[in-house]
Amino acid sequence: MSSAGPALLAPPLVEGPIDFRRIDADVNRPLESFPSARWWGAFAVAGLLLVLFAVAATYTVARGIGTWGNNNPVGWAWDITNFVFWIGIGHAGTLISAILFLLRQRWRTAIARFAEAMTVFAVICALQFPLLHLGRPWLALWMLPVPNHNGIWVNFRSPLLWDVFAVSTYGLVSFLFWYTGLLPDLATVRDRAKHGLRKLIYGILSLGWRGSNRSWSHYEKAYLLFAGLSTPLVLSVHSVVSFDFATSVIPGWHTTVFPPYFVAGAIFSGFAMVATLIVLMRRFFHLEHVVTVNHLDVMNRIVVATSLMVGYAYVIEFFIAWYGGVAYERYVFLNRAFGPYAWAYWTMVTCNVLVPQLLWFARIRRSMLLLYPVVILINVGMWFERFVIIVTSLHRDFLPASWDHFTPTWVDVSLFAGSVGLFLTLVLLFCRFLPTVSLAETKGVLAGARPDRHGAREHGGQHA
Amino acid sequence: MKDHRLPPLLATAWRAAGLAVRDEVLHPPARIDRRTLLELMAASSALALGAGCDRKPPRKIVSMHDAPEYLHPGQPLHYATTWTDGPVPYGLMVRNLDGRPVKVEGLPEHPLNRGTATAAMQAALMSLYDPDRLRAPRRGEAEIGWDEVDRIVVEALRAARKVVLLTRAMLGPAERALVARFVAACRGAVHLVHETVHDGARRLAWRVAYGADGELRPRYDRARVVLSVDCDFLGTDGDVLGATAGWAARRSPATVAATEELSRLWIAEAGLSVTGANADHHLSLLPSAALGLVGALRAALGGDGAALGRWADAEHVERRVLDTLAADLRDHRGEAVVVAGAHLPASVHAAVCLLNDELGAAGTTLEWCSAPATLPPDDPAKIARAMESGVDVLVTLGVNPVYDFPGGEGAALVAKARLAVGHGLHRDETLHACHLALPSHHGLESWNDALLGAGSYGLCQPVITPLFASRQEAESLLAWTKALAPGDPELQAAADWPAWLRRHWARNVLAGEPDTAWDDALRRGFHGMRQAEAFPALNRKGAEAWAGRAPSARGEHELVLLPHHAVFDGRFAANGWLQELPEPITKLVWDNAAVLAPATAAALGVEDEDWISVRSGDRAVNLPVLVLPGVAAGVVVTTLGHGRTAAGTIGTERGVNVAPLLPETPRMGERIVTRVDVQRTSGPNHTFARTQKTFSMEGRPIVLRGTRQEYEANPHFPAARTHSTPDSQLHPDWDYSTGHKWVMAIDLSRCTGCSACVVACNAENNIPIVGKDECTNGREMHWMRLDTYYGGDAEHPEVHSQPMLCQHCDNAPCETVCPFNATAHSPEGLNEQVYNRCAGTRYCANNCPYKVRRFNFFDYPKLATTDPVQELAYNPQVTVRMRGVMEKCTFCVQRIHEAKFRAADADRPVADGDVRPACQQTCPAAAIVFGDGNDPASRVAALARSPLAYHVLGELNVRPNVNYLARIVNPHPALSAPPGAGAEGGGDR
Amino acid sequence: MFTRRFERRIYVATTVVLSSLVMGTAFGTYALWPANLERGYQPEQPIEFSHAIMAGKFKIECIYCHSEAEKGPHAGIPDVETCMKCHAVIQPKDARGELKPEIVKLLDYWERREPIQWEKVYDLADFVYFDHRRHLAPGTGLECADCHGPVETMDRVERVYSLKMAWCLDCHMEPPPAGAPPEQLTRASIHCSTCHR
Repeated sequence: MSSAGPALLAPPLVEGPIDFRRIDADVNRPLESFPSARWWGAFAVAGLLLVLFAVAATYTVARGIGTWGNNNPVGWAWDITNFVFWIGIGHAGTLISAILFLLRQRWRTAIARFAEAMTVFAVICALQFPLLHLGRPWLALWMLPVPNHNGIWVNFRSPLLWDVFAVSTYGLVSFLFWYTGLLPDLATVRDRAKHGLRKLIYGILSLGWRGSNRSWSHYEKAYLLFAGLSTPLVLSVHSVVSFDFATSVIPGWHTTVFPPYFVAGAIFSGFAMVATLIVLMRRFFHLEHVVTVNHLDVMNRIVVATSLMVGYAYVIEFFIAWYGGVAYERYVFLNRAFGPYAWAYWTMVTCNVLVPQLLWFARIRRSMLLLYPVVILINVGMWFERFVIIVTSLHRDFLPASWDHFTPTWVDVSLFAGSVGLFLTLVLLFCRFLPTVSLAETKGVLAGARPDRHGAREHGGQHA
Repeated sequence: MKDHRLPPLLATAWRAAGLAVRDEVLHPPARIDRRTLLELMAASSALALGAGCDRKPPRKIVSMHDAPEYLHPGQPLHYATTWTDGPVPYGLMVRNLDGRPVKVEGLPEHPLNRGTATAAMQAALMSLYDPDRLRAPRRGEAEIGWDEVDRIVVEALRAARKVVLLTRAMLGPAERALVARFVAACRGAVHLVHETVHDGARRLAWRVAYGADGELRPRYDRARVVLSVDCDFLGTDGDVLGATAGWAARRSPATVAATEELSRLWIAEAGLSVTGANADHHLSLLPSAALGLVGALRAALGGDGAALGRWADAEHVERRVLDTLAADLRDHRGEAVVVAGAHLPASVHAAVCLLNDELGAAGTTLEWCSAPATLPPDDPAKIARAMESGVDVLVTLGVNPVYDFPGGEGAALVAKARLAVGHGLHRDETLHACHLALPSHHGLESWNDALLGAGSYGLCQPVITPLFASRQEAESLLAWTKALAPGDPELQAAADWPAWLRRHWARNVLAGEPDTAWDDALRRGFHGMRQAEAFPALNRKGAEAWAGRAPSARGEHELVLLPHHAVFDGRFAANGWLQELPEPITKLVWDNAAVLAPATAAALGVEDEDWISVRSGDRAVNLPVLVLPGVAAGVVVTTLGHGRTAAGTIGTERGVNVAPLLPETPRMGERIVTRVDVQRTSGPNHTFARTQKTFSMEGRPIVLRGTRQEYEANPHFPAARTHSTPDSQLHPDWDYSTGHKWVMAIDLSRCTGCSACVVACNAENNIPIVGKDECTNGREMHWMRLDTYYGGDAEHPEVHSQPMLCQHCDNAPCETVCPFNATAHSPEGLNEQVYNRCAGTRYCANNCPYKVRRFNFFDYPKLATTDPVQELAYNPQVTVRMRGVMEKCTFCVQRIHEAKFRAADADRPVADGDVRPACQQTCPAAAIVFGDGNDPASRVAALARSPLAYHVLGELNVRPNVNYLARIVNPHPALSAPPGAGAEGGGDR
Repeated sequence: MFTRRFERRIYVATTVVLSSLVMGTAFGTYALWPANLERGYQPEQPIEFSHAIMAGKFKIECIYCHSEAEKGPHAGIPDVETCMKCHAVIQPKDARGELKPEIVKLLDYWERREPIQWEKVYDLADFVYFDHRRHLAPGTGLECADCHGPVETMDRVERVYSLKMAWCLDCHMEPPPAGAPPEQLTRASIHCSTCHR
């Protein structure tokens, strides 16, 4: 690694007497040992949820969107809520891996890999919903601007089309970024492999990484480039998603604050989700000394910060509604806070603004037991944020005659629960088959590491 | 022409790939067929067999054997006929395509309806193709042939000593003549007329007052002041189309010569009817107090105001209002008319005759017609007496006593008959109870005639060959009569019913006319215009005697039984379009209810969807409650026609049958009970499906309403109450400088909210019905909806109704957000929706400020039925939408193209009025005008220039192309609210 | 750690797999391209009626049989009577002096007063509203063959053009013929409702 800036944290990033081999051993243990009963249990649950998803999705496609609760004024409900929710989750990954990397925040090393993986999985989950909400998913092909026998072009004025580009770019870059980072570690796994087949598979996956000096310098260039490439994405993706609403005429959607508000919210929810999973991960795979309390501490500080931004957005929305003086706008926000969906609104406010304030206290930030409920609630709150924006704005817009109420059906619920299952399944498989912590980078921040070119070659030699 | 042949190698390749699914998947399945009926059958069978697995399912194209020269595939033929299923014999114009009717419209030039149509008339199409129709004669469950039927019936009739022929009131002259022959030929035969919803009481009073059977026809177009005593003449009572046209002609400043011409409508009613919703002054009236009110008014006009005061105090009505009413009538002698509801007792109608006489209405605002279209119905008590002792043969023609006989004793009466023969469209309650169930032709399959008035006859001709093994009632009657009277030369001369009809016309109607007269009558659908008749002298004494009768004793609660605005007395209950047609005031579909005033409900401790039991004498019915402002306290208003037990998949078990509560009194067919016992009761959890949930305008400028005084003070008041559209915008406007620019104008002063346009739209645009559950979930598909808002106070609310449809915005929010370009803007200003390009993101619907876009959440066309017969009702000019597709009003773009083609053929430009969307064409009030906004001379352009014209939500700069004309009401100056008050609705609910 | 030879094999294998995938997709796309699916459709008809003879050899005008083409939206298929106008007298026999089988079929139909159920060759989707009359109106300069191909050379009619939207647009996007009055719709319009309603 190139020479490091001053580390963010005084305490060492990796605790305890530990050398490179030990790291390899610790991180690779889950890959090399038969999965524990706990893992199987978790996998079974996730798998069942995944099956539920498959059932609900099939039913939807077979019968139509009528199987959902959506109705005439409320054209979008849980479908797009889930989509935005999952896209948001992904953001922490990109932020940690790209922006913190560029800022040389070396504490990120322990959690970067996991967060990136999460990004990729979250995008996969998110993609299910735009497809499903068509009811006839195969027609999504028409979204692609390719020559066709109808001689029709797509409508570039439509924010939904912008979504297609934004999200696909995002997904693709995130994946490549993640995979590039994996290469040296895959090589390590390959080298440690006993079984021939295992050697073969990881050998192919590692694209013949040999840890040569040239490989390393290419690798670092590539990694840096991807970091630069995906940094704007952190901001662009959710901004574009927010345009779906911001560019409309519907009071409650038609709001200029949306892009920054959505991005902040996304990072907020993303970090909460990373924390949610990594707390379990480090515990079950005994990586407490690699992903230390300090890591979670720093993440929680970011959570508080973003929570405040989100809270500010909530306030400013109301202010503008009042200040703008448009009757429809005013009604929508009053309706949010005191209308039939007030419960959803206040759930959102509690979970996203009030609860996170607990994280001002170091004791809570640094205690797994105490911070866990907080981050869980944030995940809940962020889902409700999207629900509130979408449903409460739609169900009462301009003409009272067209007002109606939305009630979800079992299919709506199953699809959301199922998407969680899909996400967990992917995460669990990831923990089993890939190094959950970036070995190469962690070694860079070990106490004994002498991060210069010679050192790098020496340690490269470790693999060679 | 760029294509080249497909290399054979590839050809085999894709054949091997077997791609039958492609079109099924990407496109709506083959539902409409634009070729012949034969071909449709072939196509569906071919599909069923899944014949062929390459490309898409191959379809047959079937040549005729020898084609008639007048038939051009895909080109419509129009036939004129007469509506004989309903209470008034309106003229029908039936649009035929490839041998099947696809649209029923009003007959232009018809003396009664002049091209307009009610919801029920247009829905006739739906019942013609109703798959639940009885398809063959049945004896019990066994299907039998018509010869068998005739043998059984004739034998029975020969042997019979006592025969009852029970028919509906709407019988044409030819049919009446035939019935007379039947009664003559058949020993012990008696002909009785059974109707539950009819004007028997009125007819009785008129007969007494004017000494002859006939009917009075109010001329609302001549009346400056109209007082309706619980008469829903704009909704369900009498000649609705004529009344609406006449009334609307005097309502809008945009179309009257001077504001002095505007008429004023007073109504005193028990419920809140369509008429009440359009009234300038609304008084609550208990049915039992109607006689008193009319009497008091007579006295007041006679100079004795005291009676009015007494009545006002007794009924807790503001004295000032009544005095003003009396004064208003007095001031407009000769220009005023008073009408009373058909459900009120004869005494009231007698009193009204006297009152009208005092107002000098005779011959000015009232016309006499000595030839009513319907027979005077018989008293239920009389019918019961005739049948109680048991008859040998009972023949029912198109009536359903088992379902709707007052008191609910129909089943018992029919059961008493030794042989019961039922003729009907469906196997309804009565046909189930009969030994022989005989399928009738639908009106559109029948030959018939009708009386339109003195010297005016309507002719009814079949417009499709019968779909099933049915036979017209008259045909059966003729066959049986011929068998009974072999000696009658005239009967024997008539080979069949059409022959009889033609003979009858030749002798009685067209006597002395040229031979072409019959063909002319067929072409025009009627013969002769109505002649003005001398107004008969009033038999004051007789009328006084009736008017003097004391009203029946009043109880704590009173009951009013009205016909349902759509399914009427239940005869249309099997019709999906009508079941799903929102009730104009409550927006209730698929159901009826006990409508109560908030006060009444509070007193009973019930709310919406709770159950009450209504007991009259020994008969009780449980009803779900619907609370409605504007209803008189202490009254239960409910509608007949629901609660059918045998009306096919559509009509069975919808709502509650209230016929048992109908009084059987010898006072002639009134439909009120002045003493009922109402109790809160428990019942199954009930949900009303209402297509509108919020009835308050929330103080938003949606329906603009102003009094005549406000209008005279400042004609431009709408501009003051709406935010104007910005003139300039960032992106360039559309260029409409050349060609057409289609624009619509809707005059809210004329619109009564009758909802005929909704059914017109359904029929024209293949809009599916979705059923009660989907309606409950807010998924109804109507492109044209009528929004109803209540304003003012809860006792006498202002009701505003507003037709809401796609506004075809110039800056359409839906167009920008569709990623597929499935909704686009046409150079003529139309906002076009391309079903086969729509993938169903629903983004456009979300972004539509008017929420007029409709999404196919399920495969609705298949949801209703998969019977191919139903598919014949589809209009081949409009695509049937599959699930996952968004749809909305197109301004009937298919008609626009048709008009252009016609103009092109005639080598002339499209003229104003050439293009008339289904809603405009049918609107009885002529409230909707469509046309080319680029043509300054067009009517629509003129209306758009009116100071009353405004855009709903114009401030969003979506630039809608539907101009609403603010509603002008004409309250009496003495009672008119100060300008501005309540002008924008708002208020509770 | 693999030997370089082994690795090379892996890479070769990968390359082969990937490239065959790409080629397969390309082939598939072309074969399944909707336009290509439509062309070359040549169903067997209940009667082996030869346009090559009627329109080709005897030069009978299309309009003689498909008389509706100039009158309305559908060109229509001639009724059996139309066939009999000629074939009541023209009844070709084969070498053995017996009526030719196809003629026999026709006469049977005529005797049985039964319509002939032909196989549709040109079958537009139900959401496409095509009007023959508009396309044959004066000023369009269109011939039947422009869309139906050289039918007069076909013994069994075959679909020559895809009739896919893009193909229609080829003409519709051309500028209108000079001096055509706007109302006469000779100007080919490309807005949606022209064909989709």
